[in-house]
Amino acid sequence: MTPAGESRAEGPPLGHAHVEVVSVRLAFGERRVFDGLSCRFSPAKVSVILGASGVGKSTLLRLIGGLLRPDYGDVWIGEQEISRLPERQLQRARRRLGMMFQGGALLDSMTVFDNVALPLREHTKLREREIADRVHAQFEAVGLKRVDALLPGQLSGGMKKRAALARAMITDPEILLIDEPFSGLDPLAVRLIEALLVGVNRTKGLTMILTNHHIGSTIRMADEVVFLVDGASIHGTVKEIRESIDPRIQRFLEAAGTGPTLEEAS
Amino acid sequence: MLDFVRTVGWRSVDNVYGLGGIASFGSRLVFETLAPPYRLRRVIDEIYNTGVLSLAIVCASGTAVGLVLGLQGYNTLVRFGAERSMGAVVGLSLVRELGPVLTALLVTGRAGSAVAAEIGAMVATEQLDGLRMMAVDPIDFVTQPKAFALFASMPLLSALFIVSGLFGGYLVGVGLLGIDGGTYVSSLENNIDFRNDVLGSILKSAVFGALVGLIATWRGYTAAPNSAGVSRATTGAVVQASVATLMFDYAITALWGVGV
Repeated sequence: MTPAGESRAEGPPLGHAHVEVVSVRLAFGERRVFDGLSCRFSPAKVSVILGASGVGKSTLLRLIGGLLRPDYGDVWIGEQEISRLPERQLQRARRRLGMMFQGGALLDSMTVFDNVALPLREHTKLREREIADRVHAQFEAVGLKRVDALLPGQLSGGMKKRAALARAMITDPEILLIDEPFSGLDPLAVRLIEALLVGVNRTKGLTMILTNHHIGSTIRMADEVVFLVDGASIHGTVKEIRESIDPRIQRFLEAAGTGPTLEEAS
Repeated sequence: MLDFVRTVGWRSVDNVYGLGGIASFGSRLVFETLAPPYRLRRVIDEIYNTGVLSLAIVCASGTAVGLVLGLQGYNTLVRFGAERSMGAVVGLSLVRELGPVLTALLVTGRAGSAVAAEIGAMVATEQLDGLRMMAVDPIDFVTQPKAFALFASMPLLSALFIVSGLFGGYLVGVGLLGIDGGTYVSSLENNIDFRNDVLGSILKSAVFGALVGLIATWRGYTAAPNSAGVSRATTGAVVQASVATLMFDYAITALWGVGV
């Protein structure tokens, strides 16, 4: 298990990290979220960003997606540093990424089919027939049926997450960012989405980075864990995190163990 | 004293920053309008939402304004024995001033507020971020068609307002007060100049359309991502677009002289 990495303000990432955050500082007004945060995410692995509410899990995901820019520090996607790219170039860099938002972020004025077809219509020259085939294949992969003409508002929470996952994956991204995939779901739906995500990771070999405060699913899914605490990160495997003697991690795991997620964890 | 100066200073900086933001946003809107891809389908949908769905309110309001203008105009003109000029009074008031201005205020209330609220809600529910993550520019995909639709439909709605108003004036003048129909129409025809009056009216409504489109989309786009932010964006869009319409109305009238 390694504590927050050392600063490395210049040069491309070392080793095999697919995504690397280096010495990032970020504040919203007076509130400092990250103060020299460094962490890395390995290729083709399921990495879970764990931490208490408000510690900056979703913020870190948004930094990786280029939706936020750090006050200081670098964010590397492969060989490309994205935090200072102009918007047009950032847009091109984002084609390597897919993101599933906590609430789905589906366009509520468009049908589910049109939502999932949108990236293909925008970025490819595929004909409508081919687009329909790919969208339906994606629906099948995430277990959605007969949702073409429905609006996002007509879907249940679990279906919305699956539709969002289908949209995030339709362009076959290298890296999938997933914000709280299990929030608001019942235990059965949690298991279903969990199996779906692990299946996608294993079959497509994409790098998956997800935020989660659900200990049970983290233990079952994660290849590596980035634990956020006090604006910095602690990196390790699930086993390392569980066996950690760091009191901050222990406190978090103990609190999670006494909460409703205990049943899932055990 | 120092605090006062500091507050004024920061507010000035904020205002300049805000103006810079809206200017940059406006230039992006113009660029996205001119540069491909041209989103004709989305523009048509938005023209339906902002223009076609405003038809009823614009026609009803135009007719009501024409009825009132007819009554008020007749009461004034009859004192000077000039009631035969009623068509000109109703027509010139509507074409030069009331048509473009009142249409802009009505469209701001009906469509401008809806545009700001819709975009603000999209910000609050991360839909614009969702587009960004799909490498789709939300200014190009969401705001440009809405702003362009407001710009394009405003002159047409204004023309419709004016026609409804003329009809309202005709109803009162000819139907109620007994003025000859031919006199009403010929007075209208003889006194309204195409270049000064009609073109000026179209210019005004096009400028108002651009203003309402810009302000409504900007307020929605920069809304804070929560329900209070959406509410503030909607109210701000209506207030700012209305005030801007009235101020630009004065500026255009002054710049183009009394002919406009």
